[in-house]
Amino acid sequence: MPPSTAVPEPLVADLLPRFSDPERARPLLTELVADWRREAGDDPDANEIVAVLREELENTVKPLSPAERDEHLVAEVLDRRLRVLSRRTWAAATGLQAGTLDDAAVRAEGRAVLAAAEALSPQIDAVGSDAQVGLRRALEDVVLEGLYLAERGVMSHRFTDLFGADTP
Amino acid sequence: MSEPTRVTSQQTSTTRSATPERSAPGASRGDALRSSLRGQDLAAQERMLSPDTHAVAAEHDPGAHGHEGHEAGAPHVDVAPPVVERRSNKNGPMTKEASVKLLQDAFGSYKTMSGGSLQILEPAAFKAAYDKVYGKTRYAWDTYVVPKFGNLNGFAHKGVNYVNASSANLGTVPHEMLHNNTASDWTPVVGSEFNEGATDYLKQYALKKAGKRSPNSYPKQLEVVTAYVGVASEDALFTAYLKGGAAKLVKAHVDRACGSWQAVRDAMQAKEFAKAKVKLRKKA
Repeated sequence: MPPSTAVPEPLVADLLPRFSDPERARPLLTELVADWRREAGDDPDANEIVAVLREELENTVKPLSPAERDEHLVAEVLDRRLRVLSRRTWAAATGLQAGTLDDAAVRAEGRAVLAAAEALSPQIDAVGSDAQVGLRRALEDVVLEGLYLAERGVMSHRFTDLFGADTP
Repeated sequence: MSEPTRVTSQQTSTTRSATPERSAPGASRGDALRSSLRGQDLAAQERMLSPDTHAVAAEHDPGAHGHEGHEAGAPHVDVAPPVVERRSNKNGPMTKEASVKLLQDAFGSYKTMSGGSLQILEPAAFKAAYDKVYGKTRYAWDTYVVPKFGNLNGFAHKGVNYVNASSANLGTVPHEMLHNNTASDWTPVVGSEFNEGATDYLKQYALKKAGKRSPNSYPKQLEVVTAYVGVASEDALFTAYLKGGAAKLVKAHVDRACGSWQAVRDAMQAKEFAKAKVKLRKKA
């Protein structure tokens, strides 16, 4: 479900009071909850999955100050965007390994992921505290994987597991 | 070409704010966040090239291996609150020798731990190692990594793990070293994301046993592995990770007690950690 859905997301309305500025929080919450719904999908446990995600968010922000809550929400959205890029690099890598994607398409995907990672980098720099460090680690994995897809050089640890140590 | 300096989190933000894509001078961090997040959404980014594929799980029976004190439901690793590795050198990286001893003391009853192919490099050498691969391309350290990302903590190339000593912490080397000690069937069965969480679990176990502490590297993955230990046991995890038999020790247990290991694995590989935790809950 894209964030621009015409149907109001009741979960967003429920969570909005936890944040200090509804105008700022609404689009972020809308994006975040839409990705929760995507994660749950049509899984038989979909309701439980969304409930877990909601509970985790509420428990995390509960002891935080209003400013910290807002910052945590931003970090959560950035984390979700990094997960998207990570899924793309993994799909490209497994496609390359399986021979279902051609070399040029994989290199183009690597360059596209790198461009997206470059755009996320300053956003992550703007996040404070511990959250920034975790996001940068996730970003770095995406960058290493994008570089490998584009140029076949250095790689992340999971790509080493996938392709083997002898890969050039 | 200039050499990268040791970079802390604060230094990174300061140094990198001068690059063209950074926010305008005088803008608050909140302004920058709102500005940078505007007009983007996840659905627009999610463009999968192909369906995920899965490595074939290797069947392997290592035989029974009993270890007292690793019973189900009592994880020995702290997972909350989730903290991550800091870009600080206050608790700088352990030497390879100290890391091998740490791991041997913790897991020597399972196997003899080895250091493997790991290089802990000071910034100039780390940069040189990176530029040996990419120095003549558009992705060279000074012209790409520094302006776009500031720094890198590590990378893998031709079977060697390179660690940037300037940003490594106490747990970095044991974590990377543990990767060199996994059973051959471990990652093919559990997948790379569960593997990262398990590696962090074993790292924290070894550090705690030695009276040391270090932040978690993969906190969300670690939460899922801790959920697994809650329904199985640390011994099952350690045995499968270090000796082999993941298909029997991890997959079989989850298939029996919780439903489907494949569902857990798929969720982990998609970085859907809440879904993975739900799939690891014991059947009523």
